[in-house]
Amino acid sequence: MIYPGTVKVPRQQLICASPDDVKVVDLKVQYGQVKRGQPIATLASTKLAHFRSQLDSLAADLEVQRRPFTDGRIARLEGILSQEVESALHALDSADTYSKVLEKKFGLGFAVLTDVVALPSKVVAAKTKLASAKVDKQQFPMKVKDMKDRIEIAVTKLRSGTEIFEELTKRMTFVAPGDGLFMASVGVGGFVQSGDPIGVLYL
Amino acid sequence: MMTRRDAIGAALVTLLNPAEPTKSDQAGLKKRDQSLICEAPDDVTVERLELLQGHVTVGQPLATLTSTRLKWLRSRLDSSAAELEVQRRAFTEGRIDQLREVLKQEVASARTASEAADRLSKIQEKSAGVGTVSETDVLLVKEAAAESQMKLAEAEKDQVRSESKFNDMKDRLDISETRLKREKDILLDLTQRLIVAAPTDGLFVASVGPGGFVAAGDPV
Repeated sequence: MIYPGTVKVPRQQLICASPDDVKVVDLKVQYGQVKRGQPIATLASTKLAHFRSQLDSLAADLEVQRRPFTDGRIARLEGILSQEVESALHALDSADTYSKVLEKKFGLGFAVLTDVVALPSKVVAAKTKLASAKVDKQQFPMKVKDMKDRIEIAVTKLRSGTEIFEELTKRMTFVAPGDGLFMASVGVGGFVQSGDPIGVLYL
Repeated sequence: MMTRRDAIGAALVTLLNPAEPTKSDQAGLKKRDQSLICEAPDDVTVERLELLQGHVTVGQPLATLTSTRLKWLRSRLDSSAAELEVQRRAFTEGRIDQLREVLKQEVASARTASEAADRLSKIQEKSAGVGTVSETDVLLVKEAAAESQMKLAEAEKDQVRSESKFNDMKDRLDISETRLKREKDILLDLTQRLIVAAPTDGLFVASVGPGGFVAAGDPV
C-alpha cells in the first residue's frame, strides 16, 4: 500500500547514448558489472573522419597562406613598391624639367606650339603615377597586417576545430558513467544512430 | 534493438508533484503521479550533474551541459568577428579615401591629357588649313585626341564603379555585422539553456550520468 504523500522511487538507470552516428568497433562489456570510468566500447564515426579531413584541408591552406612570409615574397614586393615610387619620382622630375626646358625654348622661339601643348598633361600623368605608387607603398604594410591577421584567424579556427575534434574523438571511447550493471543494446560491428542507446547502466 | 524511449522506462526523469485532486480522482479513478521530462536543448554532454536522484526545489540547478555544436558556433562567430574587423580596416584606416583620391587624380590627369590632345588637334587643323602640315598628320593627331577622350571616359567609369563598389562593401559589412550580432544573441540564449534547473519542486531522477551524451529533445 502506498500512503498519501509518499512517492515510489523508480530504479535508477542511466541511458548510455551514442554521441554520433557510429559503428561499434569494439565492445568490452556486453552484460556485466562495471566500475565508473571503465572503458566499455570503442566507436567509429564517419562524420568525425570527414571533420578530420576538413581540418587537414584547413591546415594545408594555412600553410599556403603563410608562404609569402616564408619564401621572401613580402620582402620582394616591398622592394618593388619602393622602386616604383622611386621610378615615378624620376619620371615626374624628368617630365617637369623637360616641360620647363621646352617652355623656355618656346619662349625664345626655338620650339613650336605643338611641342609644348601636351606638356602639362604629361606632368599631370607623371604626378598621378607617383601618387598611385605612393598609395600602393603606403597601404602595403596595412595589407600585410591584414594577411597576418587572417592567418591568425585561420590558426585560431584550426586550433578550436582541433580541440573540438579531440573532444569528439574522446567520446568515441565510451566509458561507464558510474558503478553498476551494464547491459549493451548493440553488438560489435553494429550501427547506432546519434542519441540512441549503446546500452543501459543499472546503478 | 531497444528504442531510447523503451530504455528510459516509465519514469527515469521525473519531477513528481503531490498532485492536486482532479475530477478523475474525485470520480474514483486511479491517481497518477505527474512527470515532467527535462529534455536536452541540443545534442549535449553532461558536464556536471548536481544529483543523480533526490528531492529538488524549483530553480535548483540540476545539471550543466556542454554542446559541441555551440562550441563550434562560438568559434565560427569569433572568426567572423575578427574577419569583419579586418574588412572594416579599409574604411577606418583611410585606405578607401586614399583610393578615392587616386581615382580622382586619374580622372583629372586623363582630362588634362584629353584637353591637350584636343587643343593640339585644333592647332594641327589650322596648320593644315595654311598648308604647313599634311592631312595625314592631322588625322594622326585626331586619332590621338579620340584615344585620350576614350581614356578619360574609362577613368570616369572606373571612378563611378569604384564608388559603387565601396558602397557595396560598406553595406555588406553592415549586413555581416547585423547578422553577427543576431547570431551572438542566439548563442547567448542557447548557452543559457545549458544550465538545467528544476522546473518545479519534486523528485528528480537523472537518466544520464556525468559525461553522458544526450541527443536534442531526449531527457536529461
